Amino acid sequence: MNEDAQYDQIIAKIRLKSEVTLTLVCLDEFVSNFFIPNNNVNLPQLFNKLPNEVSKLLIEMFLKDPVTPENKLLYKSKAEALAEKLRNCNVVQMTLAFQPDETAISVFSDWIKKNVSVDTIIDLQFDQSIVGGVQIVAGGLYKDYSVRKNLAGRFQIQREEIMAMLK
Amino acid sequence: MVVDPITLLFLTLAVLVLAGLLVALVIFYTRNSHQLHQAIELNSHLQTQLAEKPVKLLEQAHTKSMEIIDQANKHANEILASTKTYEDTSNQGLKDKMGLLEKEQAEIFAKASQEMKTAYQNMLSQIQEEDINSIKSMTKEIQSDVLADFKEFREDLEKETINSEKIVKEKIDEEYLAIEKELDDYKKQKYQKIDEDIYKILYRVSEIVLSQGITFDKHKQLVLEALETAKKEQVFK
Repeated sequence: MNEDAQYDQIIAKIRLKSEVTLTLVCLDEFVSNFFIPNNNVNLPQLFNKLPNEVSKLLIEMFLKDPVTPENKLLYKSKAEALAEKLRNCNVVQMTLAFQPDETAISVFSDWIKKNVSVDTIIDLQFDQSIVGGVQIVAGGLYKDYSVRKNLAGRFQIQREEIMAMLK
Repeated sequence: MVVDPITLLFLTLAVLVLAGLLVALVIFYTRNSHQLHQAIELNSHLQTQLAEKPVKLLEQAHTKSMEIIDQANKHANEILASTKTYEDTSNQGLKDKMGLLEKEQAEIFAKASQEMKTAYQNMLSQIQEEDINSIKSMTKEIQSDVLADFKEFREDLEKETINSEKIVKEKIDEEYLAIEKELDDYKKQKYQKIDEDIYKILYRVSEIVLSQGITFDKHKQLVLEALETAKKEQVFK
């Protein structure tokens, strides 16, 4: 498997912008440790903070072979290339009215990666006032698919009927 | 003091007569004095002549002149005496006449006073009667005038009252319409505000009810539906 395929595989497993940030931090730490003399840091531990699938892929990519003075630069180059790809990922901001669990996050991320692109990640926000649904910001475009807006629209459209019911 | 004109005339005539007599006496006296003066001159002339003629002639002349003088004096005294007598007589007559006149005048005055009193009383009675009639007439006129004025005043007052009532009624109607309009506007504003408030409250209640009523799975479903809609609307392009 070539490096680009490995990068895509890793990016495909990263769902959220927060995970990208965490991955970038981990990669940075990973690379930094190469140049610390007499460093006894357990490198695999660095990736444990990440989601399992991402962690596994990173370990397989960077720690399949032990880091030696000879391949340090190569790994560094790979890490930087991956970090660059992660920084260039498409971001879709989604504002939800509820705190989604991991399953829900995965469902949404799968949908985004399937219907938009694999390198699209979600910047997840929480706002209870939207009642339900989602507000989306993608490619500089804002769309409000919240229940609040839908409700307001319905109230606006059916205002007279609603007021007649109230009276 | 009231002096009777007749008495006054009589007294005036008496004074005039006496004045005339006095003037006559003065004239007579003056004439005699003149004659005396002429006689003295003549005497003087004769004396002058006698100074040239014999003393006898002078004496005769003197005697004659003396006689003439005596005769003139006597004559003058007589005239004065007669004048005095006439004056006394005239005074007495005048007094008598004045007393008589005074008496007559008193009687005339009394009679005239009585007549005047009677006439005055008659006139006073007549005037009183006329006054009473005038007052009665005036009273009636005043009464009719007052009644007419009062009637006119009442008519004017009624007109003014009616006009005032009309103006006030128009004013009240205008004010009523204005207030009614303001009230309608106010009610509309309030209704609108209440509608909006109720609408907001209902909207907020709906939000709360919906947010509490939406299940987790429903949330997920809503998000996925929204994503599908976004895809259809090409939000991700």
